[in-house]
Amino acid sequence: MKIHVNGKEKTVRPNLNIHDLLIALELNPKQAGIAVAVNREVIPKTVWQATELRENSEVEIIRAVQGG
Amino acid sequence: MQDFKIADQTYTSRLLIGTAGYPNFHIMTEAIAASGAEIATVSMRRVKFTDTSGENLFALLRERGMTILPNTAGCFTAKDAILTANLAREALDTSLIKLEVIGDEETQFPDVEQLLNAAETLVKDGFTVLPYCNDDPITCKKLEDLGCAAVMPLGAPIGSGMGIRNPYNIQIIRDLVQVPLIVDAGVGTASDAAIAMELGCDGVLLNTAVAKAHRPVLMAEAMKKAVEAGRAAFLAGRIPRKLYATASSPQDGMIE
Repeated sequence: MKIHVNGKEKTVRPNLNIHDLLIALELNPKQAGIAVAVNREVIPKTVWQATELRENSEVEIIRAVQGG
Repeated sequence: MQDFKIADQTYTSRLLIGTAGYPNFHIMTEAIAASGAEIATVSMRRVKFTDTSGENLFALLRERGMTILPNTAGCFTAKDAILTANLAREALDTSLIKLEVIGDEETQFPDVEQLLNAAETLVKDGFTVLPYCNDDPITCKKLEDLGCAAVMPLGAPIGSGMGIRNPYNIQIIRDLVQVPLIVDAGVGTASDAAIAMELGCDGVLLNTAVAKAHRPVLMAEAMKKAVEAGRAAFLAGRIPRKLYATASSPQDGMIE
């Protein structure tokens, strides 16, 4: 299925959960400092494994960067 | 000197520092240390999958025991600012948020209507809201009434280095609000920070003045001293301004 991750289209296996998406993106799901929103809703870390993505899900993965 | 308190946390330093725009990560780290700041701001942005620098700002600030203050920079609507605040809370495990809702790209002035809306929602959602706002006493009062933990009026536009353009408004805001008053944006050099503190502000938040100085680490040190000096001068109480001289040396016992 197709999803969008940080604005870019990606093809992933159906019903992929957020935890496995992060691993597929070579991000450590246990690392501190990142957050995920799906369709503009923040998904807490505690439910990443239980949250499956759907066709056309809009995923945002964010972290802290230098800012004023 | 009394300590500076945000929500329930007490700080020794009254200088809050931004982490953007330094020549490199190393100079940023040195400058933050030289500033003595205990609170540092960060922005929330998309993870870059191509980033191989290994620089982890969150880990670095946390290791140094800094309070991390995420901002909602770049947001033009309450909706976007609220989502960014929620992402920051989840990512950084803090309910602190420097709320910025910008109304115009060129001036970076706040959109007051959107700012008030976002502040109201975030306070209700349990955030400790530190809003970047105009140097407008009424806006500041409204933000306080909504339950914001501080008000942070601009001294001048972000990154402009124009100093405190309306000291009289800052003074009125000081009289009007009980929550901490922090000048955020506009400081260009040490005297600007001192002026803000002399006006009775509880703190100063700055970034560009240090990051873009010729020698950022030295400017960070200057800002630290300026904030301390300005605070001391405020507590000491300045003398009234007069047009004419009053001799300070004794007038009697002069040689004839």
